[in-house]
Amino acid sequence: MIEIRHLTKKYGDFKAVDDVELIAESGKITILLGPNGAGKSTTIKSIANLLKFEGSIDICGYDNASIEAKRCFGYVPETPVLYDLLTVEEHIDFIGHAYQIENYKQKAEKYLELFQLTEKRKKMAKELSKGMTQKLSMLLAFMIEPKALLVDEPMVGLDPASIEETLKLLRNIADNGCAVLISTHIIDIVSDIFDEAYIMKEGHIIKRIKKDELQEESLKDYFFELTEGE
Amino acid sequence: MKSLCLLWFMKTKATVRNLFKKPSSAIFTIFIVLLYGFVFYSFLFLPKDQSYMAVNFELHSSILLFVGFLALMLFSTMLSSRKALFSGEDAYFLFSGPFHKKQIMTFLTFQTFLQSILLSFFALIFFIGMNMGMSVDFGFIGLALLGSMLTIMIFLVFIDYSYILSIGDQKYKKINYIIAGIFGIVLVIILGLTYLETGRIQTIMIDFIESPLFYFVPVFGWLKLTLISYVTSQMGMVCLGLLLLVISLVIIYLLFITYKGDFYEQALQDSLELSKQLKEFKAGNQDALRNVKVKKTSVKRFYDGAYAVLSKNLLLMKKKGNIISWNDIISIGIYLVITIFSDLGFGFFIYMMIIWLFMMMQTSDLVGELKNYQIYLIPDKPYKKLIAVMIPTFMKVSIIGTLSFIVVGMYYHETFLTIFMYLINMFGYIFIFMSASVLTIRLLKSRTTQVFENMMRMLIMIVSALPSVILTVIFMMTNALTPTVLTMLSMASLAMNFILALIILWACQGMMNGRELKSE
Repeated sequence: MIEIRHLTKKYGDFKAVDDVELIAESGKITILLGPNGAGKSTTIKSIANLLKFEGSIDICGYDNASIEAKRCFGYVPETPVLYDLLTVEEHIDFIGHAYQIENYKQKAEKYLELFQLTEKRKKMAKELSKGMTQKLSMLLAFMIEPKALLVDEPMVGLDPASIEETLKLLRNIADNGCAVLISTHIIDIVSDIFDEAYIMKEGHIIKRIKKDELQEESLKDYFFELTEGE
Repeated sequence: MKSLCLLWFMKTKATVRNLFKKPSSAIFTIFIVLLYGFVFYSFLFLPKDQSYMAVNFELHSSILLFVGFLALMLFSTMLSSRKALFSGEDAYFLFSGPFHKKQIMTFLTFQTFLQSILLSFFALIFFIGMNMGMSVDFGFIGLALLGSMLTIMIFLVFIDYSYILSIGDQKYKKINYIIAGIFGIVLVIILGLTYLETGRIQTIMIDFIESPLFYFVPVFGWLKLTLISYVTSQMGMVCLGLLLLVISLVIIYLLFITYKGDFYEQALQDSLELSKQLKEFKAGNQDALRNVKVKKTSVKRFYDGAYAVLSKNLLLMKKKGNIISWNDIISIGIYLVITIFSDLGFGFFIYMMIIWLFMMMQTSDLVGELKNYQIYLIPDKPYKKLIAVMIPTFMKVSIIGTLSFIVVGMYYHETFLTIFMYLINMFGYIFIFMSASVLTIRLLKSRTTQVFENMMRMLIMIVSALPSVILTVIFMMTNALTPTVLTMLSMASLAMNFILALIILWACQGMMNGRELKSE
């Protein structure tokens, strides 16, 4: 579970995020929506412990700065950050040992298959296409078998078939008990798989809505109503 | 033209604004400006042992080192395979905007002129740093600035000219190598002539340094002629030296601005490409400006936890072949040749090696590592991560330094104890330099530059030397300064290097958690 309490982040006098409360529950897919400048990136960076903030963020019941929280936390950033000269396999070795994951090769194998990276395992990151680097970035986050997963714009650079596969995979990970929090602009893509949505505007959470509360209305229409078309 | 002047003004303003955006960065910038001011002031106004300028071996070698520094800087720019007339942004707006060729060329000239001034100040700081005890007057400093500025401009305009020539015709691509080769041949001829004149091979470097034959080396020889003639009060020769530099500049500049070929398309492409690479370099990718050949290699096993970062970095170093690179071997080889030929002994080699260490310890690897969010997410203690990131650089410089000290120490028949003491000193400097890099990144974050980093190293070196200096003064005042006390004080200074470095590393460990470093 990812639990955010009274998160406030100021840049000088400007409050990028103001008293945000958010819970991404285990076994569910929670999405974070909002127009540009709503505070999504600040929230995500705070969860990943890259920003100083007021309030508290717990991951799996631990403070997000603690080693215990990091051990159960997976993060897929919007732009993959990989080591150009390391091969796919070497990235897997690095993360496997850094997180001290037992049987990490076996665990990575199924994602290599799933993301069609098996043939590319000896390729260096700089030799991969944009979509492939995104897949490798996801693989590295998934192979640690996180209890809480934070995914920032997961579909950027992926082809339609990979998007479908990724959505299924995220659903599967959530069904196995992981708390999945996705930040995205592309509402259409996540509208089928989400369980709960938080809508942000001008640094505040303006609405928390569960899927079954939407009734006939689509999430997209609901979002535009709330954000006045932004 | 007005809009281009405005563009330059706004860019300069933005750079200054960025430096003063955060209090820590602002304080540091002011400190550096004051320090530079103090260096100039103390060089010009503080009392010296030597009351007047004299033409002796020291002056000749100092000026030649100054000229050599300029030559190294200019030839490395000239022979670099990456060239561009402007930054990517400037090129985009200049070539696609409503500007004609004359305006573009004028803007480029203005930019080259400013670059030359800045670089000549930089070279002068190097000269001052090497000759703090030398007594010089304002005239000499002014001439050194003017002469070096003309020298730099000649080369920068020539580099631009050869670049646009090579866009028009591929055969001109080799022109820079030919020019560098000509300079090399001229130097070899002068060395040969010096030998024929004196008949001594052992002191050939000393004789070469003092030989008037060097004045026949184009551009650099004329600069030396100007400076030496000023000290000997031969104003005619000063004017001759300057005149030769000015004439060369005018000829090259005229060739450049009258070039008729079309170079816009390639120039724009190269500018954008170089800007991208420079940004990557600044962001920590040390290889962005190099053509790295990747070796096929593997690592036997990855260590667990934070030390997986160490395994990963060692693997990357092996792939890039830079654990012990040819560059390092050549640099140290040059130091050794200079030491042997100039007959300056083991102490001089140690001095050169400390400078090598100073240059080797750049933050790029560390900055690059900190750009990757993975380092923060690894579930391990921050100080372990910091150590894991630092070990590869430490290993590299320690291995090369130790081997060099032992080999050269044995050549000079130094005792084991002497070599051992120098090695301990070297490790003290390695610790200080590395901790200074860490502290600079911690304080300045993305605004970290090599200049700031070097200044920080000097500052920490001064701080670690302070207790010894204070104690020395106290012992002197109480007449208790004996050779034994002096040895103990130098040991205390060395111990301070280690203690201070460890304190800094301990205090900065939090930055491996992400929150502290990336917050703003």
